[in-house]
Amino acid sequence: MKRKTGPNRRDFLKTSAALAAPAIVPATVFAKQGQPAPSDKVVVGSIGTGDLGRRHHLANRLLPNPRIEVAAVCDVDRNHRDQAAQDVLDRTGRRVEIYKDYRELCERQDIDAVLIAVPDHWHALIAIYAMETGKDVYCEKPLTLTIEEGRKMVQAARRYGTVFQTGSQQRSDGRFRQACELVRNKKIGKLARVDTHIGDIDSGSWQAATTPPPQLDWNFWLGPAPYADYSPIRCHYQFRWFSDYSGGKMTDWGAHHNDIAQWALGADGSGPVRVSGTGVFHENGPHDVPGTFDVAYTYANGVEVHCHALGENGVKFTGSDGWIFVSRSRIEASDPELLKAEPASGDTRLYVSRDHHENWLDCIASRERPICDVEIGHRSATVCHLGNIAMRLGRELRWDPEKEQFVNDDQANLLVGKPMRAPWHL
Amino acid sequence: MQSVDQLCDQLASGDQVQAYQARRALDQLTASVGGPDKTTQRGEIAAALARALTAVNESKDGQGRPVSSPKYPSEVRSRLARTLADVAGDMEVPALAQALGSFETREMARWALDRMTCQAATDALVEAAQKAVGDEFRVGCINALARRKSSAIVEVLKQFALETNRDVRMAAAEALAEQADAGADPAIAAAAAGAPPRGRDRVIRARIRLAENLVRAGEKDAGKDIYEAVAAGDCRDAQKKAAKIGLEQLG
Repeated sequence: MKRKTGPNRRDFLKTSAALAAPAIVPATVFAKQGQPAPSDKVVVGSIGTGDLGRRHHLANRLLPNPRIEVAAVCDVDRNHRDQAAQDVLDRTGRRVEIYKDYRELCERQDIDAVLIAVPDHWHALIAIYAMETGKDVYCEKPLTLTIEEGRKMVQAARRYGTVFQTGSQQRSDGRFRQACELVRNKKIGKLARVDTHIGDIDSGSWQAATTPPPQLDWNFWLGPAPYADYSPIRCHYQFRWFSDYSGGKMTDWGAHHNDIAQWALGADGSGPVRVSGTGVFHENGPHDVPGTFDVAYTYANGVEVHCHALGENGVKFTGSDGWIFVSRSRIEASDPELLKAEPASGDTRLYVSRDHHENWLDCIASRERPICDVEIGHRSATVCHLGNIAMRLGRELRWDPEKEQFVNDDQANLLVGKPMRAPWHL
Repeated sequence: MQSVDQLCDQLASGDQVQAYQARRALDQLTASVGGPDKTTQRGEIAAALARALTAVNESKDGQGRPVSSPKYPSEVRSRLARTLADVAGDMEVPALAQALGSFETREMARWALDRMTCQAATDALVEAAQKAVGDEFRVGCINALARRKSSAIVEVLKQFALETNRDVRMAAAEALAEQADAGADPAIAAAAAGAPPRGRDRVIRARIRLAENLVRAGEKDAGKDIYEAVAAGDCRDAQKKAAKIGLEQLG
């Protein structure tokens, strides 16, 4: 069931305008030539304009969208933010405000929403600040660096009535939805096992610490993470393979495929109850997250989810009567007819979104929850974090998904959160 | 398996690969004694780490007077403090408190104490927040205190909320918001005095968090009072909206 959040700034403006406006207002004031009325455009700030933020979101999703007006860009790397502003100028002919500090962007009253595509260790702080300043949020996956951050983000979203989309966009891909509906409706019998295959990483190569490039505010980039001397391998795309900033492949791709497992299991507000795993860490570094791994989760209904580094990228569901495999390139089933059959009356139907960004915009207008609401993103990220914690500790752990605490393991519970470098805190 | 001392020497080797391997070995060591049935072994490892953290080399200066200096460089001691966070108990607090006294190691000592909820750790953080030089570090200590819930902490935080330093005051206000204590609200509100717009926003957000925590703790009337005050006050639309959502949830 789609749930409602509160009104947003644009609703407030439209209501105020309607009350204050003359009785007759030309329609052209609000819309012309088939374009959205200015008052219906979502004014967006783009926070994090590196490879993903600029080349993917800004270039492919924000700027071409007639429902969006990009009003500002922000990055701690001057080259990134200036290049992004240049992109906006080239595409729209408009100059936008350029920020290094996300707080200044968020504090602008004319911005409705922000798209956050920064390193993982910054997601929670920026997203919470954006929510606290009244913005709706699209935040890249993995949603969090720690489980505690996710709970705080959910609380903030509910507190401020935020429309929050997590960037696990496979939920807006019909193949994945079809696979999950078939599983939910027991078309492969009683589900016994899910296998997710999400990829491995290499060891990386050591580099000597060096002076940060002049365009990069390295201390701001580190933010809440422990201080470390700059070297290019720790920064920008490569941050994913350092545990102070991210959870490695387990969170990078696990936030996609383990998210699909959660969807098929109907566990969006819950999670596994047991986790164990074996991670092979690179012997000589520098990447300090598992290079390859196999992690086993058990859910309360007895279903096992196995997350593997190796194997063909995708998700395989195995039931008592057959199997389904789904990836970004194909969907297959042990019985191909399953994929052609129309859903029967009474079958469970899942939330339909055909475009992740459009779904976010639709929900900003309707104030309903998006297909990958913050709670869903948090729970799926939690699955990944549980795997990393189990691998780090090297023992089976019991997890209480309701309390979001490990059972009878104080050391594991220390890893539910992580202290932040001052002055940052949740 | 290498001893803690051997791993410390390896950490200090100056070789990136050697140091990485030592760090991994220390993580594996602490994980191996982390289970609920490993209390004794965990205590032994924690004690060894604490000894290494405070180890000194004795020597004499040019005039023959005895002098001591840390056995391990600051990077190693910071790593030891961070590693201690996974296994330390009451017995290790003095070593971490000592590390709080060094500019080179105090941030990671604070990191470790942040995760420890025992009274000795809390006392060490309070003392550092009161006496240390450097407002950002003091703010970090106050942030760590926010995780502790007690009337004594509320009183300590109220004092910090009166400080002249704005950053310390704001940190205290936000820490007070995590306590389900209605008596914290005036102190939080007072922290806004003389603050710029961003600071005033922080205080209002803190009040809303306090209201939420009060409601969660069953003190609905106290939470309602704060929500109503915010909704009627001079603040951003987002804060008014949050207050109204809070009131709606109260019914």
